[in-house]
Parts: sequence; C-alpha cells; structure tokens
Amino acid sequence: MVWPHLVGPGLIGPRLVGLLLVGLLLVLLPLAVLVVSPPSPVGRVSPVSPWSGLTDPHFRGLLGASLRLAFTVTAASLVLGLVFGLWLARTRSWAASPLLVAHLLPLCMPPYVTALAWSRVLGREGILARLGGDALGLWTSGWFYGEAGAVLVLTVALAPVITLLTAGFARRLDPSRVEAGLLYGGPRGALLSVVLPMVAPAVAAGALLVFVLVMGEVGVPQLLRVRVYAPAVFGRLADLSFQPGEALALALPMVSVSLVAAVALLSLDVGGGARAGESAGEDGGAGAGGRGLRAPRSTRWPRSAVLDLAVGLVIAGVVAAAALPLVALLRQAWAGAGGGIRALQSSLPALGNSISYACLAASAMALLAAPLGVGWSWRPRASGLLALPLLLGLVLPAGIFALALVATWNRPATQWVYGTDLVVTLALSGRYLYLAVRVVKLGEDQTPADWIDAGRLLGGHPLRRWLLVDLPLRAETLALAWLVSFLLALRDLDTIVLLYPPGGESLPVRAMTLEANAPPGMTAATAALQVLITLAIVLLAGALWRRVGRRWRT
Amino acid sequence: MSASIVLADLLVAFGPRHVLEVGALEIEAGQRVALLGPSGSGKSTLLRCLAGLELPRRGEIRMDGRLATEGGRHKVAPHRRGVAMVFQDLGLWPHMSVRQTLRFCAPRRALGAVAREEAVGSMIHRLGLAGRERAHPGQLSGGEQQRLALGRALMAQPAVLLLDEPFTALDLILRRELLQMLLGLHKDLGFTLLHVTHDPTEALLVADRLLLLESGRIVWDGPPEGLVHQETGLGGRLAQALRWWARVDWGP
Amino acid sequence: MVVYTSVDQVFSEPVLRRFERRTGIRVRVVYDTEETKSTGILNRLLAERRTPQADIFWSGDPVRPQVLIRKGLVARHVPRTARDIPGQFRGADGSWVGFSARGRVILVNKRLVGTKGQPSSLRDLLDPRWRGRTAIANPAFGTTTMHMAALFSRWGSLRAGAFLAGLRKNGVKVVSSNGEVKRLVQSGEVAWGITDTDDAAVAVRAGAPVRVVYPDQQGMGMLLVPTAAVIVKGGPNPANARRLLEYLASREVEQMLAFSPCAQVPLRRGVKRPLRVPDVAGLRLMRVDYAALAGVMQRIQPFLRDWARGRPGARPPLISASPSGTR
Repeated sequence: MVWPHLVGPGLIGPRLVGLLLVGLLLVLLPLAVLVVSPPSPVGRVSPVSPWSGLTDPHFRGLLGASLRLAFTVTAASLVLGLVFGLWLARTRSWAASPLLVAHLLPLCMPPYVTALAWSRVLGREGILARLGGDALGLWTSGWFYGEAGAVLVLTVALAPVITLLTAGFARRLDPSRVEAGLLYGGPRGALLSVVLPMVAPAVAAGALLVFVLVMGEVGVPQLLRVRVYAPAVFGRLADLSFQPGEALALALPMVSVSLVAAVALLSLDVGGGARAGESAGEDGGAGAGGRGLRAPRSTRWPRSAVLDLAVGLVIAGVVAAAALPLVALLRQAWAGAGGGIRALQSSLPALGNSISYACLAASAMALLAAPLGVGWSWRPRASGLLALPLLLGLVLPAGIFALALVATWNRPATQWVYGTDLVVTLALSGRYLYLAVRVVKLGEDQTPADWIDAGRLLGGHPLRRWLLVDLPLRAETLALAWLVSFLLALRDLDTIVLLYPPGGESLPVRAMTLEANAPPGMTAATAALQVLITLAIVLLAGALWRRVGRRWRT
Repeated sequence: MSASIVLADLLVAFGPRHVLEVGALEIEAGQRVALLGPSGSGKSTLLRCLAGLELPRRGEIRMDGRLATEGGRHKVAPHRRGVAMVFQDLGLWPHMSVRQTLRFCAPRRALGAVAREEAVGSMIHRLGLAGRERAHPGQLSGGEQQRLALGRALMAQPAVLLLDEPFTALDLILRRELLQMLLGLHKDLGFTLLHVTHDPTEALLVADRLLLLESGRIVWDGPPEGLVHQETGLGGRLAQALRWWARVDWGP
Repeated sequence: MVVYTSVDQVFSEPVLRRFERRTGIRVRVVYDTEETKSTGILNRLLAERRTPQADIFWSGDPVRPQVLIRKGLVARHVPRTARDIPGQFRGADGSWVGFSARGRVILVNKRLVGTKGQPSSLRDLLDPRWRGRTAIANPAFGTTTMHMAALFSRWGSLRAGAFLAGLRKNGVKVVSSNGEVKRLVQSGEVAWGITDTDDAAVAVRAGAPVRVVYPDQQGMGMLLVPTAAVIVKGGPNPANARRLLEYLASREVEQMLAFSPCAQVPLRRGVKRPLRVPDVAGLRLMRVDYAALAGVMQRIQPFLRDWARGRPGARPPLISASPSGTR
C-alpha cells in the first residue's frame, strides 16, 4: 500500500528528488549551458586559467580586500545584531516594535538604495555638510566614499539578519534555563555561559549568511568606489571587456569561499535537529515536547551596566540609521528641481513592475518552497546536500547567473519565457529559492510533531486532513515564506537589472539608472518611494504576523 | 466498541539501537492495560507502533484480528485503525477552537450532521467545557487542555485508546478528576485502553493488567495486585517504593 | 518596439517619449548607466545575438556600436535626415549614425586659476606648474578610454605611452569617473581636470565657480564623442527601427539634446542651441576615424587597466601614429 507515503510528512522521497531537480533546472542547467556554449567575447580572448583569481596579484589583492570587507561587516553586524537582538528578546517596551521595523527596513531594501540614501547624509552635499559646513562634508564624504562607507552601509543593511535570528532564538529559550544561569552564574555568567552558547548556532548561521552576501555585493562597492572582487568579476562582463570565460574563471575563488561558508552554514542546521529520530521512542524525554509555540514566560534576563550602555548606544544607532537617510532623501525629493510629485509620478510604472515581479516570484517561490521545506525538515541531512545547487544560485555572482539565463532561455522556441516576465521569475527563484525553502524548513521545525501525528490518527481521509490540519498549521510559515520571498524580490537589483524585459524596469533599477546625471531630487524621490513601499510591506507583514501569532499563542 | 491486539516478534530499532523488542503479546478487547517503566524503556514506542506512527523493523501487529502492520510495512493507515491517542504534549491544534476540534474528529459516516452536532455538544458537557466552545487551545487552562485532548480522542469513537502519560504534569486533585472521568468513559464506551505512565499508583488504579518494560523489553506481565508481591528486579523495586509511599500516617 | 540605450535615462527618456507621442509607436526601453556600465547593455546585445530582442541600440558613444558592426549584428540603413551630418560622424554604408556629441573639455576652478595662464592643452597635464593639482577619470573606463584611444591612434603608442607615464610622474589624480573630476574641480580640491561637456554643464548650471576651456584649439583640436545609433539585425520591428533611426538623426533631436541639461553639442551647423553649448563651426575638432577607434580601444585596454592599477613596466601595444598626427 502506498499510504505511508501519502500522509503526514509523506512523499519525502519525491520531495527530496524535487529539491534536487528544482536546483538543477533553475541553477545548474543555465550554468551548464553557459559553460558549454558561452557567448563570444569582445576582442581577443585573454588566456585565463581557473586559478587566475588566485595567482594574479591584482585579483589576489582584490580577493583579500573582499575578504577583509566581508569580515569587518560580519563582525560589526555581530556586535550590533547580538546586542539589539538580546534586548529585543527580553524587552517589554512599547518601543520595541517601531525600533525593530526601523532596523529591518534597510535589510528589505536594495543595499544600493541604502547607500544612495546615506550619500545624501554623508556626501559632499549631504545634510551633514549643510549643517556643519563644507569642511565637515568634505571630511565625511572622504571616508564615506571608501571602505568605511561600505562597512557602514552593508552593516546597516545586513545586521538585521543577526538581530532577527538572535531575538528569535533567545525568545524561545526555556526561561528556566536562563534563570538557572542567573542563579548560579550571575548576569554575566548567564549571558556568556548560558544565553550566548544557546543562541550561538543561529547567530553563526546568520553571520555566515552576512558574509556570503557581502562577498557577492556589487552595487554598493561600485557606488562607493571600493575596489573589491565581485565588481571586478562583473567588470569582465561589462561592455568592451566582455570576457565571459574569464569572468567564469575569476568567479571560481569567490564562489568557493562563499560555498565553503554556506556548507558550514548547513552543518549548523539551525533550529532543526534530526526530526525522525526525535519523535522516536524517548519516553518522557525532551522529545517533541520542547518545541511548542509557547509564549515566552516573563523572565528575569541578565542585565549589567555594560550591557545597558551597549543597548543604549545600539538603539541610538538604529534610530539614527533609520531616520537620517530617510530624512535626507525626503528633503531632497521635495526640494529637488524635478519636483517631488512629478518624480514620484514618473516612477509609478517602475513601482508597478517591481510589485508585479515580486508577486510572481514570491508566489512561485512559496509554492515550490512549501513541499521542499517540509521535506527538508524531516530529512535534514540528505536535503542539505540535495539543496547545494540552489545554494549555488544564491552565492553565484549575479552577472554570471544572468548571463547563463540569457544563454539558456533566449531562443526562438523559448520566447514565452525570455520575452516575458517569466524570465525574471526564473532568475529571482534561482537566486532566492534557497532562502525561501529554509524559511519553510525553520517553520516546520517549530511545528510540534504531535500536531501532525494527531492529524494522522484523527484526521480521516488524507486530503481532508491536509486541507483542515496540515495546511492551516503551516499557514503562518507559508505566509512568511511568501513575504520573505516578496521582499527579497523587491530589493533585488543585481539580477533584475541584467534581465528585465524592455520597458519593464523595476524601482531599484530606475534609482540606479537615474543616479547618473539625473537631478538629485529625482533619484531621491525614486529611492524614497522604495523606502516607503518597503516600509508599508514590512508593517503589513508585522501586522499579519502578530494576528496569526496572537491567535496561536495566547 | 473495543478491539483485541496481538503483537508478534516486534522489533523497533533506530540505527543500531534496539528500542523495543516484543516476542509475543496479546491484549483482549476491552482490557485496561497500564505500561510502566523508566524513561527510555520503550513504552511510548509501543503505543506509536500500535497507532501506526512508528514503523517497526520487523514483526506483525493485528488489531481486532486484522493485520495492521507486517514485515516492516504498514497495512492499515493510522486513521483507519480505530485507534485514538492522547499525546504527552497533547498535540492540540492551535488553529481550531474546542468545538471545531471535536467536530473535526467526530466520525462523519456513522453520524448525520445533526447527530454529530449533538454528539459534540454532549461531549463538551461531559468534559466540563461548556461555555468554552469557542476558545482556542492557547486560551484554555492546563486542565481544560487535558480534557479537550481526551475528548478529541474519544470523539473519534475509537476501539483502542492510547494514553501517553498525558496526566503527569497535573496536580493530584485534577489527576483524580480526569482518571475518574476516564474510568467512567471506559465503562460506558468499552474501548481497549493502553495507558503509559511511570506512576505505579496510577497504574494500579486504572488498569486491570500491568506490563513492566525495561530497556525495550517486557519484563513482567500480570494483574496489578501481583506487583505488590514482587521481590526482585524492576517489579521488586516498584513494590518497595509503593510500600514506602503507603506509610503515610493519617493520625488518630 | 524595443530600444537599448546607454545614453543617461534622464536625457534619452524625453526624446523617446516624444517619438512615441509623435508616431503612436510604443517604445520599450532598457537603460544603462553611463558611469558604471553596470547593466551591460552591450553584453546583453551580444548574449542575445541568436534571438535579438532589441530594434535599436542608441549608444552614448560611437565605439560600442562598432563592436556590433564588426560582429555582423547590425542592419544597414542610411537615414535621409542624416545627410547634413558631417561624414566623419557616420558610416557611409549606413551601418551607424552619430549625432549630439559630448566634448572632452578642460574644467577649471575659477577661484584657483585666472584666465591668464589657464591651461589650454591636454599636454598641460604634464606641466610641473600643476603638479598634483589636476585630475582625470580612470582611463580604463568610459569616454576617457576613448580619449586615450584617440591619442594612441593620433600619436602612436610610443608618444602616447610616454604621455601616460608623464601623467603619473606629474601626480595627476586618477579618479573613478568624469563626474568625480567635476566634483573635485568644483570643490577646489584640484585646480582643473579633464571631463565631459555634460558634467561640465551640470556644474556651470549649478552656479559652481568653474569655467570650461576647449582644449588644443591651436593644435590637434578637441575630441568629440557623438552618441550613435544602430539598427539591430534581426530585431523584431525593423520598419519601426528605421523610423526611429530617422528621428534620432534629425535636427529636432540634436536641438532637443542641446537644450537638455546634458547640453550636447549638435554636429550640424545651424542647429538652435543655448549659449553654453559651443558651435562646432567655431571649434577646431580632432580628426578621428571612429570606426577604427574601437579596435584601438580593445587593444590598449589591458594596458590601460594595468596603468590605472599603477603596475610599473607595463608596455603599450604597438600602434603607429596616423599620418596627420604630427603634433
């Protein structure tokens, strides 16, 4: 009989195969096409070896600079994210929600737009220069257009990853464990020896993700004129130095570093644990019991003067990081010669494109991620390996991935893909599906096995049970996966810019193409529109999350 | 409604570790069996095998004479076995209210819509949850949650009811209330009851047959009263503990 | 129809929209940014060669279209409207047509440099008087690459190589873009620099203390970088493509772009223009074979990259001076 495969977390085998197949189709197939029949280069083919990224002293230097930038940003994000995340986990302050939204906003925006916004604060004609005089502006822009500026922008943009994971995991800690730590170790001991080790795997995973994202970032270093590796690889695809073969070879060291980091991320397997073994036979043990969605009991959290000071500083930083660029953008948008309203109006079609790309891509990703993520939760080890192709899609330089997609889908027979929005959906899915699947997996990990088992026993026909138990239990997760995918698609710049159908520029693309020589007010208005739309969606997501959470957890 | 259970040559293993090995076990229809043993002795695994939630590596399980599991394969799906279970962590669905939960589990074929609503209503009364029909599990107290979990299981009109230590965390008064309710229900409905516990007194009160498990094997099988006369092994230690607990001096 | 353009969106969009209004043809556009070439329209055109998606490629410079022409990706058409554009700026065979140019100019900070003794030639970059007080954009990118290619084909690699070495020796600041050169001059961080007319125009319009000098009016002349359009062979709407090409090459567009903030220089005589836009009739222009320039650019690019990285000892590829290149 087939039933064991059709019920509960059934069809695990096909799900695993699906995980592999989706990765093959979305990522490896285009890559293979690119390797087998690359577009011809411009000019003479320069001889390259796969090692030229490491042997050529210039590129070695750039790789070093990339690693340095990635390490610095990761370290800064860790400090910021840990302090703020722990504060969020224990606070009952009304300010927590608005602060969190302000903090999350840059994560949900293209880092390029964040950099643009900051240039309106720290640039030579930024608000600081207005307030403090030309000399101040000269000084701030001096360090902003450089490594320090890149660290600032990327930390602001990516630290929320750490914050979210820290806060999420710290909230779910068994309060009695923390209290025991306080009792025996004092605030410092509890923090260092109990709380930190228990959130460490999640935080480490977040740190690796930040690292990988910084390694692949092109737009911010380009805008801030920081010489690092990813834009140099991109440069081999730009224009008169169009050398796809060389770009592929140069991408190798970068992709390897990112893959190693990502595989490390896999081995941490945050929030999971072998699920099949766990429901198994531990009488009265921790078993499935420890993972209910319980409201955090009010806990006495470790406090100390140092920590309070750090929290104060970080909160001040978060407020400043949210308020300053937004104020600068809005000010410039309204004062701009182009006229704020007109600039906003002319950006509306781009906004429509952005939203339509994001809706399509998010729906596709949520649909795919739902079965794959559930399968992953039940077979973490095998899935981790099978998801490697999807992971590759995340760490591959956007330029190469886009080129591969063009090489694959731009044929007469596949114009229904390449000539339409579908190619953008494919590109975004190939790039971000991995993260969407991880979100579903994380949610599934949190779903107590008893809920599912009770459904298997008492739910009747599998279809009925699926509709009335399995699906509603995962509604929260699926909604979250959709929203995360939506935001990822909305903030994408590097992928869409190379593929968007003619006339279908997205909002971030418009902000970037306008930055060249457009009146500053016009760019600012476009960027401000991006900020406001993102804010609206984050607020919407927060409200939804709260509503679902209240019903489930009170 | 009740069903007999027959197990033969059952082996459950996770990797190299044998979690449960049962040579032969027969449980008569309507019997009340308590499974007693330390943590990790395989009690819950046995229940999960009967429910079809765990797949043994080998052996067979017959329920009411029907082959339910054989040779490492399930022959009957969990929801077709006539089995209900109260989970240790209850496993109440957070998205369903009390009434929705009970209605969802009521048998649909046997009852018409009207009869089903009546059955749900009377179960709500019986559980003492009147007035709480619209509450979701998160809004119920601990005792109410336990009663709902029990009610959910019984709503399905099972032939076999499996209890996986659902009452461990409750205070003495609440526990007595629930155990009495359970016995009353058993009298009325006549299901076969398998009750996992590690409290010997609870076992003595509920069961008419006692199974002691240790390291995945059944080490003793007999009437509850027989436990008191045990001298050695797990049974002996339990008997000793029981005698010690009984030394409460109630005063003049 | 579909247009790919690397002319900055703020300048190209109004032109294309006017064409839309005029003809009722819907134009869908992929924009590029001039400064970083991040969207790599040229790559997209090359990658799409098997199934072209674009009808027209409107390039910010005349060199990139040459890459497509060489690869046989261009359909020929001689626009009637282009007849009065000087022959230097279009392909006689109808492969490309240039119009509305940027000029490579000297931008001077008025506060730091008086009209007397102001620089008048590119070679003043080597003058020790300005040591460490001048700037150019990285020659590995953008119009500066083209400028260098023009110098190489004019002077030959020996003299051009020596010129580049001289720039390093005289402490010329090499910055990321022409826009950055403008910013440095504007703020007085350098006394003067080489940049494009459009960047200069932005600074002038903003009231910055700067002055534009057209270089080498006594010598080899100023380099013009016309925008250029080609019809993509096998594009989906060839008839519309020809119509748009006719329109782009018209006087109307040259005039429109002259009055737009980019202040582009009309290539024809007698096109209406604002005062700040120079009249080509009154300028000495560098004589350049734009079609040949693409090849030179590709050949010198690795050398320019090395030079920009400050790698010593890199030798320029051998390019002989053009016959007219005596100065």
